[in-house]
Amino acid sequence: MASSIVFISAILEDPLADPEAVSVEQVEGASVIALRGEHDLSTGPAIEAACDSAWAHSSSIVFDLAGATFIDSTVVGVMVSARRRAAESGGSVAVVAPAGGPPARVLTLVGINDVLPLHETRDEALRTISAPG
Amino acid sequence: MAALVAVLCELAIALPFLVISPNTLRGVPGPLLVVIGVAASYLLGPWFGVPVTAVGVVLAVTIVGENAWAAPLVWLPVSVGAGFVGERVRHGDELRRELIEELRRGLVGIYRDPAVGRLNVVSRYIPAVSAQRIAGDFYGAVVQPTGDVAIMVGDVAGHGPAAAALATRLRAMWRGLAVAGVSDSETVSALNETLLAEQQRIASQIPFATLCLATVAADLRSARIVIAGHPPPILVTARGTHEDTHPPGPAIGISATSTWAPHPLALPDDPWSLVVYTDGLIEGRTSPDGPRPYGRDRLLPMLATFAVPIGEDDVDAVLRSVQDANGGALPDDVVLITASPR
Repeated sequence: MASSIVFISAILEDPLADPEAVSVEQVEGASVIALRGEHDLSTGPAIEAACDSAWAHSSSIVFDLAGATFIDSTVVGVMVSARRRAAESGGSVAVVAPAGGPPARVLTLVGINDVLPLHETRDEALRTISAPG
Repeated sequence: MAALVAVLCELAIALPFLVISPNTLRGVPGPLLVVIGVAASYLLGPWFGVPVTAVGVVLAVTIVGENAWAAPLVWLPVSVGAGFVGERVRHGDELRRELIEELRRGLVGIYRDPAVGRLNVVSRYIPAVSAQRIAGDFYGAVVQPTGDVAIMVGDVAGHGPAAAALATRLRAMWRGLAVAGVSDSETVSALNETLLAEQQRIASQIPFATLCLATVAADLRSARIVIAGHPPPILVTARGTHEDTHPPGPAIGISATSTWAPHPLALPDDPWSLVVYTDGLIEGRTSPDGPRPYGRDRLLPMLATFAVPIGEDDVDAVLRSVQDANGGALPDDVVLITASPR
């Protein structure tokens, strides 16, 4: 009972009630998942759902974090898992996170920019996805 | 055994219908059938419980005759059934609470005595808002054979029992390696290999984990720092704060070819405190209506306002200050440790 009240109030007070906080669109044969605003554990399921819908349409995903003002390790985890899945299925994953921005700082600290290079713009990320290898 | 329980429950539920009046039944069937269904489903599993209960109720209703005193006979077993369900739920709740508590103790057991070798280690673990949730923050501090004190703070990405259970395994492994005197970089490599192996298991859900190892030399003149994707430790002295600025190594569980090199941190002669923490400390809001994250830019000057060594009360004050900025409890688990010479 107590936990369901916490759960309900968490939904009611959710400051991330932006319906476009997570969006998926198809661009040049890749699925682009764009995140806006703040993202953490509470939006993790929405991002995972976006990934599922993205995989259904293409084997390549671009995470566009240019509009994200905050991400935590939950979001990084979703992207690392996506990269792993892409590597297993012959697809690819690219990340748009302009240098110096909040997402880029988190991704650089975790050190995944070695395996998941960061791109300045969506176009640049889409080019690496379409390029073979 | 389960089948026997099923049959007995079914009999208990169906028997009163043999003597019940259809008129009496007409007043109660809706809620009654729901309760019976729930109880039977809970006890027998939905695939077995629901159809069996339905068949039992239909048979009972077609057999019933006139009987004025049947109503209590309907409600009595229903109450008993509801009691069964309540008991199971209560037992499950209790078990869940115990499991969460035990996992938390395994992750961040607080020792009665803060003395670790020549250091005083003050530690705090603040679980996230919902007490029923569990995350993957963990830490430990041990004395190595050389007299060095090894301090470790880690954070498994993800939440829930899987993250917490993995974190307890990583922590136990770290402790064994640290006590045996294995070098910090070899320790992190071994933990990396372990996590990569765990990820090969079916249904593994842990993408990576971050670690900060700070090993203070027995002479207290220097420390060795190894960072794997984790916020770096902060050295606080009377002259201010110094954040370790070496480029961090990658988180563990991402690549088999990753390596981690320790780098030295000189410790001063005057009093100092080394602050190690998980990102939950700096990911709250800057003000109740402000943006996230609170960030290291705010943590450093705040720590500088404390007199060293940073003790028990100071650590609580740091946490309060961060929580006040956030406008209440922080959204994620927090581990905060300070180590100071005794």
